[in-house]
Amino acid sequence: MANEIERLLYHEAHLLDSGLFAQWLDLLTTDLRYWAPARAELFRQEEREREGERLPLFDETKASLTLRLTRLQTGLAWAEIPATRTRRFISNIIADDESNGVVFVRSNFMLFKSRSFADETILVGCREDKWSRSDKWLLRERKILIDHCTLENVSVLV
Amino acid sequence: MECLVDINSRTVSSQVFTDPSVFALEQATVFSRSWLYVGHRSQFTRGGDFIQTYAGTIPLLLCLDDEGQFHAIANVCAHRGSRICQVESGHADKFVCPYHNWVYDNRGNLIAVPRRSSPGFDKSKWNLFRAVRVATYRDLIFATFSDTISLEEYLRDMTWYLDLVLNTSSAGTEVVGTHRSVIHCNWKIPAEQFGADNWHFQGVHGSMAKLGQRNEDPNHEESFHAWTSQGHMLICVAPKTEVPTTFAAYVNELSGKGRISPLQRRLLRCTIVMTIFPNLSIVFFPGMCSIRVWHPRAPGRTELWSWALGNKDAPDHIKDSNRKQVTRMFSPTGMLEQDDLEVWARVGSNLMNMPPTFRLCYEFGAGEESPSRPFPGNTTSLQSDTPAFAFYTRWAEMIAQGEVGRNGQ
Repeated sequence: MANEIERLLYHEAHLLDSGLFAQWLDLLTTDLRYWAPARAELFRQEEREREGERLPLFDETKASLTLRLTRLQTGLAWAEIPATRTRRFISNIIADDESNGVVFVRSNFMLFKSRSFADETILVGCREDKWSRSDKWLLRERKILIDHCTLENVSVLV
Repeated sequence: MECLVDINSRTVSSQVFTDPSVFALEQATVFSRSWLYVGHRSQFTRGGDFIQTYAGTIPLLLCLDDEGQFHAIANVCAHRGSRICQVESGHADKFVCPYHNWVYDNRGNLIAVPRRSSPGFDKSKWNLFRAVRVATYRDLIFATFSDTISLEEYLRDMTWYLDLVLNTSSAGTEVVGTHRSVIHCNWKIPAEQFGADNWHFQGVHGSMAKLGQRNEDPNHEESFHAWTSQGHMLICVAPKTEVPTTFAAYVNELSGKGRISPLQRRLLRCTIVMTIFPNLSIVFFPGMCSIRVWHPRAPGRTELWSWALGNKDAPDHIKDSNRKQVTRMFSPTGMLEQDDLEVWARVGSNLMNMPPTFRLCYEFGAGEESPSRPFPGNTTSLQSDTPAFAFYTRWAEMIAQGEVGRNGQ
């Protein structure tokens, strides 16, 4: 199964890097929770314990992610005109044993972004996912731990 | 140096946004003589609590002492300038500098130097650099590094507008945050936009404009710009129609308590965006409110720190919806913020790359007469450069006063 999960995450990364957003949305359950806590300059334990009290950087449903991606199709979303060149590297994948058709998957990402001739930034973090298997794998929960306390513009999904 | 702000041609020099000497001068004048927003009451629960922020470029600790007084002190050791406190918030009755272990209390007084004494060394001469005064308006905490006018006098007409978001409930407000992002342009570009630029909405936020219901009729009484001689600015945009949302029901309930006037109630169905001079902004859509500070870091670099702002005793569904909308619209990933950050970065690099003689146009709307409105401050119809130019005029006055002071005249 580890191999299957690895291929799934690589496929998902390919969809996002290639702008195949409709296909990416097809990987999400309708009751998806997708969120990213904001980081804080605190002692490690305190930062973790209180992450739920802070204002998240993402707090999304499938509907709100659909809106985010639909917005990009209007031709007026300047943060993505022209679209940012992205390349994401997914690594350190750990998949727990499947229970009740749900697998917990942790993975690291490094996302290179390039736009406007010479603006280049890297976004790094970790994702904790719950994927469920029906006739195909679907993402039902994703928590993204972004490793930056102060962020550059985040106009892409991870 | 070019004339920075030219009243006759209504133009602003690009050097206002790019020149390192202008940046240093505005710290010594505009920032040192204004009231600066440094924190929110809800970030403190008991004496000893502190938060880190900036006052202009100055790294700041805002501390609440055991007597309930706030102290705004530089997070900069008097000995060698090291950062005394490393975490963004917490609880401490004293701060020990990591460099040579000088110890300060939370009022900024040097209370101990470890290991040995030095004959004649007077600790009381080496307290931390600190604000002259700290004052609050409702739950907002401001500090100033000069002996300037009172905070009430400084805010004056704007308190009527601030009360729209700060005074609808006797329980007061709270902030939830903190979002931090880098903006690759001068701090005045976003501060101006948030106070005086409704025009950009159709352009920068074209992708979202289609979804909104905004009434930009220049004669609509509730669609207007307001500004004051102190440099504060506000945009108000009426909705096409008031939709019966859960937030509207909540506002009706609050209005019944009589803390806000019927005239104020009329504006609570509008989009309101304001800048309190120099670098505090608040954006309110019915059901969503973000409060934010544009921290100047360098001529072409700004850090935005922002929070969701709402009533402390609001029902959970109102709080939850506010936070979600702030995240989705006005966080570093926000659908409105993303496009602003992109456009501001291009403005920032373009201005850096133009000759110093390049000047920006603030002429649009000059000489226009707009219908009078029953709201405080000077007002004009939407889509006018007049309120933004008033911001730069106030900024230039403070720069000029500082230069007079420096020349000893």
